[in-house]
Amino acid sequence: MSLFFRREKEVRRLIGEYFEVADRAIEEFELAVGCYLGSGPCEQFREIDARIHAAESEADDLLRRIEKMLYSRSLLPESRGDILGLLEHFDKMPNLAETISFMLDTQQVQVGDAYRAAVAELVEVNVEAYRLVRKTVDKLFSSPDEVGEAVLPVDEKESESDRLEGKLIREVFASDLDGFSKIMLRELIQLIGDISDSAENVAGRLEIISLKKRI
Amino acid sequence: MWQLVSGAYLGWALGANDASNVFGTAVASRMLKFWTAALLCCLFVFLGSVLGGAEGMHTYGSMSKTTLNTAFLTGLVAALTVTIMTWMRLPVSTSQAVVGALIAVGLFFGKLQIGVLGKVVACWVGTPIGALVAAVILYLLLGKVMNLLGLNLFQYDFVMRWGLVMAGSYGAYALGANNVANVTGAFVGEGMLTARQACVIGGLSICLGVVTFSRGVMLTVGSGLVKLDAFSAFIVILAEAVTVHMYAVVGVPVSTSQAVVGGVLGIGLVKGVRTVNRRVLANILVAWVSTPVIAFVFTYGACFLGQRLGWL
Repeated sequence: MSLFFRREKEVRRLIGEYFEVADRAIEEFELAVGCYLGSGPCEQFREIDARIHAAESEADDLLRRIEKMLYSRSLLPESRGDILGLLEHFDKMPNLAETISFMLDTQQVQVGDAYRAAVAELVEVNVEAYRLVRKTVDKLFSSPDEVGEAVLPVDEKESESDRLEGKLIREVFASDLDGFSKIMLRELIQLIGDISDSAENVAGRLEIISLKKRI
Repeated sequence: MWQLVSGAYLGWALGANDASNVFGTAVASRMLKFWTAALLCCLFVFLGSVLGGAEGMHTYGSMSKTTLNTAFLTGLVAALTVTIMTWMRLPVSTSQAVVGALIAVGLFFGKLQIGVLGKVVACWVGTPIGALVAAVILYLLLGKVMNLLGLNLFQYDFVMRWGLVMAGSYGAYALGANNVANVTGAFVGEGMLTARQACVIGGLSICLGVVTFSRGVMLTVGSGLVKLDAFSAFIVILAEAVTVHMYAVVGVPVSTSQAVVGGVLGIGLVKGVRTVNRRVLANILVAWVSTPVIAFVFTYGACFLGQRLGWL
């Protein structure tokens, strides 16, 4: 029996570690985009890109270990399902960070001077959405009654991101850029906006999980 | 005392079938290893049998006077009835089979105590109803406590898992205390076995059924209960344990399976959803009538034949 409860502690430790690694991936992502917008695909950007890739891989490894532990007699089936569903959805955010950084590195998307500030703002709003949902995750594991309130700012950030995204895409397609650059830029903008969309999905899940625990 | 074989067989079948009602959820959800659950179940079934099983023995002893051979017949026919009903996929109650057989013996030899019989039948009806009421009260009461505690996901999980282990252990205790009389109750009195001896032998034979054959049933029945959320499953097991234990104190062996159905119905009532379909309820009603009737007919026939052959 004690072995069985030790497994639960180990799962908790791994989940904590997973979120730390995911946080690292997003922090590096913010740095990477800032660096790219400032000086293009320079050596420093490539170093940060490598760190994002490493963090994303580490997060994936941790996720596999958590899944394996959860299916080998840890936690109740409903808790297992809740945690696995939450982590799977949450993991989309570090994945997006890696995808965007990889795209900037390999496709060297041209972000003209006219759009740099708006793209930087979009990144800031999306990273903020991530941080807000991350706080909500902490609430689930500490004071679940506060989850309902904590998800509201995440929804607001997602709406803000949608507005910025729409405005930026309209501006890009109204510009004199060639068609290929327009499509590349649109893809970049949409991928950045996907971070807050994922944050909103995770927030929705968090709310459902906390409601399910109310009897 | 080779006649005890039929009682031991009945105990084995009871252990194999009814352990699922107390530890099925924990095993089917892979929260406890089968062997951990089986050992806990055996420990508490045995404790329940020895510490709380005597009352039921006295009830059966006073219902109908038996000899070693009629006790053997009672056990054998009850076990066969359980087998037939299980084959027909009806929620069989060992208690109802044993009582049907005891009535037959009592009537055949003109030694039936009608007063005791009335008390037993009233308790049969009271089992699912009692479990239903217990489930509703426990759900509302403990639900309030859980909400007040405001547990986080891991704390909730921890409390629920311990709750299921403790409710399962209590359920096993209640199972032993209540159902051991089904196994060896017919052998008590007339210089056959003392109540204490019958409790020990009955408890051990139930344990044998738990360790040798309950794994499959635990997985089948447990996965049905796992579909309920953890708190509801915990309440169902606790309501079943409380109900069955109460009847153990009164001294009337009842069906744990029917108590589980009552508990699940209670959860449905609180949540405003249908947790048990009409077919299951109809099957219980059919089993209520057919189990004792089949056991009665077979035992009466066997008594008739045994007397003709000069064996009884």
